[in-house]
Amino acid sequence: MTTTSEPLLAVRDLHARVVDGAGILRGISLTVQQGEVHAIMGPIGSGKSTLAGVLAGRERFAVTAGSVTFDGSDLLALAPEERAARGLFLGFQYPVEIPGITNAYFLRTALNSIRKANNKPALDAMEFLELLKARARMMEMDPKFLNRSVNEGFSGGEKKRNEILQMAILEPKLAILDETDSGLDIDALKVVAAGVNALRSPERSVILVTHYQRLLDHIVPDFIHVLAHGRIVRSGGRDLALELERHGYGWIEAGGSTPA
Amino acid sequence: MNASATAGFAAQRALIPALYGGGIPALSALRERAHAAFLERGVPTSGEDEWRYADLEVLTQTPHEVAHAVGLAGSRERALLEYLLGGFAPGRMVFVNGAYAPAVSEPATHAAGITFQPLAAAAALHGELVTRHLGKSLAAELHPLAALNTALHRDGLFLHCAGTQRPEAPFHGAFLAAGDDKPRAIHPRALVVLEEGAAATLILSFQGSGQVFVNPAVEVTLGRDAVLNLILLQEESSATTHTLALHASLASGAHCHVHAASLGGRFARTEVHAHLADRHAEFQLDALLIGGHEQAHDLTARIHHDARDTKSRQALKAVLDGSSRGAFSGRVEVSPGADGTHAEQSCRSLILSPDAAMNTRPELVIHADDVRCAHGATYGQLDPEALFYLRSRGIDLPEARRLLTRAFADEIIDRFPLESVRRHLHARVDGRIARPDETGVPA
Ligand SMILES: Nc1ncnc2c1ncn2[C@@H]1O[C@H](COP(=O)(O)OP(=O)(O)O)[C@@H](O)[C@H]1O
Ligand SMILES: [Mg+2]
Repeated sequence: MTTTSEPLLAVRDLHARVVDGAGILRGISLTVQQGEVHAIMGPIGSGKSTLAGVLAGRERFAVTAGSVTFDGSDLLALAPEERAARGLFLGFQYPVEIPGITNAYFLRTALNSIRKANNKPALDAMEFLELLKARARMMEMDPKFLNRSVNEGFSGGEKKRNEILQMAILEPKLAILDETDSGLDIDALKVVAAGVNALRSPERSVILVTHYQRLLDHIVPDFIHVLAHGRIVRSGGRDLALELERHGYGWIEAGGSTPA
Repeated sequence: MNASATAGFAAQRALIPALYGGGIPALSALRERAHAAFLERGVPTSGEDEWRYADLEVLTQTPHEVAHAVGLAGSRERALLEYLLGGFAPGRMVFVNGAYAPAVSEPATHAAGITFQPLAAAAALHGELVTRHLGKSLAAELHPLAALNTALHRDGLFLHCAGTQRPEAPFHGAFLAAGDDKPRAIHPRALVVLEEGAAATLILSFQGSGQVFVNPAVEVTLGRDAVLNLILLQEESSATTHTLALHASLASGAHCHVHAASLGGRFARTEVHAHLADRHAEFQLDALLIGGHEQAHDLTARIHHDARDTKSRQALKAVLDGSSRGAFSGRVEVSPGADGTHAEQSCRSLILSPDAAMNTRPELVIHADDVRCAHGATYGQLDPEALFYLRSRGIDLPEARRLLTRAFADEIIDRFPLESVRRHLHARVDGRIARPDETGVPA
């Protein structure tokens, strides 16, 4: 994909570590244009969730060097809620259970907070309910989940669906989906993939973080990056995923030259 | 105890003849005996085990004269009352500084068999009923501050339901403190008698301003299979010392469910005594303490299982901010022979500030077999993962904190039986979360 406009996301030489811990991102550079889907793959512990967390504003990570520009502004200077208001969404690897707050109330508060930050009028309860029901149908989610406490007692698959439902309601410019595929059976995977594909548009970009290439059969990315030891060690097109599947991550970690 | 404070309490004996019941020998004698019992005992101190979380020094340092009755009749006062009381119940009695305020009360008319009127009036009309119950369960020898109330209360709320009366509409007793620039004492009183098979819902609310000592005493007697839902709302000002004593006696099959929310006060103690005197009696307490600034809350519960197959459940939640203190002392006593007792107790605290602290002291004293008792206590802060999750969805930090704090408190609030009260508490709790240092209501 070629474009002359400013990239939506520009990560430059990003270093980060856990507060008071050893370095875990060691110089990441990544450019995402509007409308592109990037996959970030890599072995467990390679720093995928750390990168996703740093981009979303997790406080327990400290950025020690580098910069991130998102839609023209300095992303790292913004609070997590300001990042969300500007159109960044993180689908959590481990969605959080929040007893005592219903999914519907949570989502309405979230959507109206973002609308308010963008000087748009709040949706009233009826308007919101219409939207919520339509999106829940798309995610093949039983409406009973909407009136249950956020993620409380949800199965792994239900939690991941709920993440995509949230994305579908909040309509971000950039969705970072951290292992949204893990723990899903094949049917649930297809529903989640269909949800993501339905939101694919020239205005929306996606970073898919995944450990397996399985998800990429259903959501075809424009670019694939392989992360190891806190660095992007290979970038390429769709073929890279197939190579990875053939040779395993050991191949990349060992240097990444194609074996004879 | 400071000499002038002691002298002040002693001198208050002179008030007794002019208080209601002056012409009823049994009531005059009750007041005199209670006053003597209080003087002999004195103000409890935190050195005493039963009062170790209490902070009543102000009573021993400074004389608190009994507050005078104040008229409340103007339209401004009425508007304030509506704001304060939120129109919980169609039947409402308002007491200002312990005295009945007829101009702003609407006790409503009730079916035969239901009496809802000021104690002073009830003592004149139903003298036998009042003298049979008043000051009996909160015995002067055992309850020093309740004894002071018995001696000096100006008036109070009387609710009596004869058997089979099960009024749908709740009753409301609103106790307001109208303080001036001096330390004052106010002794709100309530007497509730539900005869066999009767059922009722009663709200007792405590609000007001000034450097006051508000010392409510509430006596509840439930006959066979009677059911009482009792709501206690304490929203006094940050200069108030509040010490409520409640005693409930339950006959066989009777249910008493107390819902208590303690939001205001400088020091606020809610002391609950329940006696499950016969089989299948059941007592439940759901309590919410909200502390901010330098407030201290003390919830003391003493549940006596005196018969077989009785049940009790106590659930307390505390939300503490600033340098506030909370304390829960819950004792369940199971008498010899009270087999088949079930007792549960839980206390969960949300500590929002490093300077806030909660003390919990569960105690089980069991003299019977085949008893099931459980208790648990937890303490915690707001979950940082949950805060980040909410913020990552665009919800700002103050709102995320409010949502999570409300979610914690709502578990108790949502068990309160009236929608109007729940709405009121939601708004008050939201206000407290947003401005933790503001207790009570605007003066
Ligand atoms: N909160 C944390 N505290 C300490 N170490 C962490 C924390 N989060 C991640 N790490 C470490 O950082 C490295 C990268 O972790 P992570 O980004 O979660 O990997 P991935 O998502 O690729 O599996 C791992 O070695 C992990 O143990
Ligand atoms: Mg991960």
